[in-house]
Amino acid sequence: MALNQPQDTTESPLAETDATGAEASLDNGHSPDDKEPGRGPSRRSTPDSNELIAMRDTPPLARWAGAFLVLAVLCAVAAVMVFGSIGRQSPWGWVCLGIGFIALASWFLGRRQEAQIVQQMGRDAHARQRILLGTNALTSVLLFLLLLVGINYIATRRHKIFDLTSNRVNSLSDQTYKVLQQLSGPVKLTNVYVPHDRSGQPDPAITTLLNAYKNASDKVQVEYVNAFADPGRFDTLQVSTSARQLMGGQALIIAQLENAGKNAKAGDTKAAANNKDRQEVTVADEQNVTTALMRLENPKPRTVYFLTGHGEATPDNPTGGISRAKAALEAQNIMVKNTSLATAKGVPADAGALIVVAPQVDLTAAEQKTLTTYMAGKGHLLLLLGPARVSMPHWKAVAKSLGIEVLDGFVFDTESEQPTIVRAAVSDPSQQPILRGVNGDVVFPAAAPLSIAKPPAGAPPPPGSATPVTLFQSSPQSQVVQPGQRPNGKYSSYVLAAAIDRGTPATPQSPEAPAMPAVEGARAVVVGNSYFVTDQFFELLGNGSFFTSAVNWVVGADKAIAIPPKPPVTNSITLTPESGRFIILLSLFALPLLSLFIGGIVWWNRR
Amino acid sequence: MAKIGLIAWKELKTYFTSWIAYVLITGWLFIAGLLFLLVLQRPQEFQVSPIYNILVTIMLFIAPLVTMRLVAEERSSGSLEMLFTSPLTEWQVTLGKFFGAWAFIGILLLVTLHLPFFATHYGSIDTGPVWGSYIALLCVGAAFMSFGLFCSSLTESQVVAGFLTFGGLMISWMLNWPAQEMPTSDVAGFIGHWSVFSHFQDMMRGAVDTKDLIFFLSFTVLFLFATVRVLESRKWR
Repeated sequence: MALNQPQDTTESPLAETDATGAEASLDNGHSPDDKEPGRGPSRRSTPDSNELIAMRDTPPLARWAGAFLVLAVLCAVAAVMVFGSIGRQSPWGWVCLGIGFIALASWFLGRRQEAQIVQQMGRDAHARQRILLGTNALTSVLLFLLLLVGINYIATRRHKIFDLTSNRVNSLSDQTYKVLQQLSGPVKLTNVYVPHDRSGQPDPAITTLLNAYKNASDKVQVEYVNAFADPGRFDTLQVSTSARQLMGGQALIIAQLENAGKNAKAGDTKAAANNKDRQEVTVADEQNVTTALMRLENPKPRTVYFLTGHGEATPDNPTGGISRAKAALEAQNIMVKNTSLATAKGVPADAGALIVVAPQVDLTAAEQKTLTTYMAGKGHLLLLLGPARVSMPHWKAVAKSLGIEVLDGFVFDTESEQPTIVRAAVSDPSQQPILRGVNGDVVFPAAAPLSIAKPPAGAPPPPGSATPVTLFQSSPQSQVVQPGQRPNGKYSSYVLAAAIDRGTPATPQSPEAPAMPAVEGARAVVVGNSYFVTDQFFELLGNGSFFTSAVNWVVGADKAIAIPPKPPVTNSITLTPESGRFIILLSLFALPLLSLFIGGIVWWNRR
Repeated sequence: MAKIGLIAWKELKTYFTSWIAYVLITGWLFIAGLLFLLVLQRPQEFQVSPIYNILVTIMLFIAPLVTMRLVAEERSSGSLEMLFTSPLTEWQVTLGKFFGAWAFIGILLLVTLHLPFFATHYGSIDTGPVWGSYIALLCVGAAFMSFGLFCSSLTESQVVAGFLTFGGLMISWMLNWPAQEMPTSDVAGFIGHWSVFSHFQDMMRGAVDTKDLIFFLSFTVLFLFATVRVLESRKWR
């Protein structure tokens, strides 16, 4: 009591009452709050004597316990950030962790000491009630937080995206959603990449694309493998040789059925290449990834044959330079083989399509007849011809039998940066399915001009009554140049690539005539250029996608090219000097000053 | 609802009877106009999302100024007890003050609508990202206001409330940094998920995801709930 006396005399009357009450309560063994239950502790303006003693005698650890806890949390956050941004080898992360643990231990010890002090002093019933209510409030907030975490967890797994953009650039196509819904099991999409900058991170565009798949389906999991940083994981992925060749320039995505991946044996590269439960995608866009998923569900490979025997470029020929084209086809589950009309005595029966790239000599008459007969039936042909040094009437005859005439010379497009390298834009994709799969302009170096042959008046319609459709053409400011001569001076737009589908239903002659049923017939694409598929030009703009789309269409895999590329939206603004000044005046001066002016009026009225 | 509306209206009027609203609107308009003029320097690749991205950062500084006085001032002046002597519940007071502050943020956004109007009038733009950005700013504003209100309820000092709000929002911003640096890291992604700043980027591209909307709603409701609990604690502390 001697300690209390001088302090109590300097306090407020309320404090004096507290002190008196305390003395009274000490006399009969009860606390002051027990004595006067109607008085809330909030009305006590000063601490009582026990609290003053406790504050004076509180050890530093107990006094600074809260600060230690905050320090521990900050150190934990700092450690996570250091480990995340610099790496696990960083000593700073361990320093942060160490300090954090010491701070946490100090907080724990401080709390223990505080609890002991409280125990020694003995808390009254009201203090216990306060602790109880405080704990109750804290628990209710934590439980509410837990509830919200649960709601967010469900919302993350079951969510919907409202795409407000005009061309739905943020959404996957409806077909992709259908494919994802029909997946029979979990699929892992693994992005194998070679980092191009110091961050060591994959291409953000690919990350966005794969996250869109992950968000769209619970069955899709995404993994990223840095081929340099994680060579062990890279080896277990058993990337095919063709895909390895492409990896230097572009990313690789492996789509793999999860259960199948567990059964694969490490090191079995050949088995992996033929593994029907996995697909390799070397052009990372929605179309190719969705195609890969479709092929996982329906893994039967198609076979295409490259024609040999006339100096053509073939994937096996090291001087041909079309290894990237071959790799792109294999990545789409298309098997590539070679064949010769002379030795095979015709087109192999299992050929999904026959591909001819840059023949250097002409066909024989017999070979021409074989090809013409093949195409008169249900043949599938991709004919890539360039300006030839020798005359090749038989090749031209084959093209002409398809309604496409190959003209002499090459196209000289004065609107192109280099007139001999024609850059052709994709026209309306609704005109031809192939164009839906082309993701940019196509560059044709030294292209031969084509012409869509018109059937003579009164002549019977060709089989299937289909006429060729122009895929690409040069600008109207184009001329034809013969080798060793000057441009002919006649400007016109020349066809560079055309397609014909004799399986489509015939157009009714009149609106009353019934529509013909769809017929499976010949399909062919003729391009007056072969350089665009060479390794030098394959990855340029839309060249690669045009080639793979054309092959997919020719072999009848229309679904593989049914996802059109998203057309870019051009955001542009055109300001005259007057409108520019108006915007500057209004945005930068008039509106902010108007706000300030109104504020001034308000102040004037209220001063 | 009428009582909540009355409190919200009273709070909104309080902003506009002092200098703070006009100064904030002036600065906000000036910065928005300056950003608009900067993106106009590339008229052929005109993008509006950078403007709104920076405006979110500006909002980080505005939020403490708007919310710091909401409860702290009433607590320090003693008018909070008077407020609760009237037939009002803690929820009504909290929601009223929240909606008042949020309405002020809405006015800040409203006065910038001339920018997309200029863009569509003088050019050709995809308006999807513009509307997505405004939805994002409203969501971010709601989250910031509820957190600021909570911080204001913790203390009598407006300055402390302001610093608490700013510090908390800064930590929320920092949580998103590892996820931005390492988009493939699961740990960084998990930490980043708790940041307000990781949930509006898609909206600003025009993709409004229900999971982001629910995150903002949860964040806002959580801190409103915590504010109510703090206000209730005056009865037993």
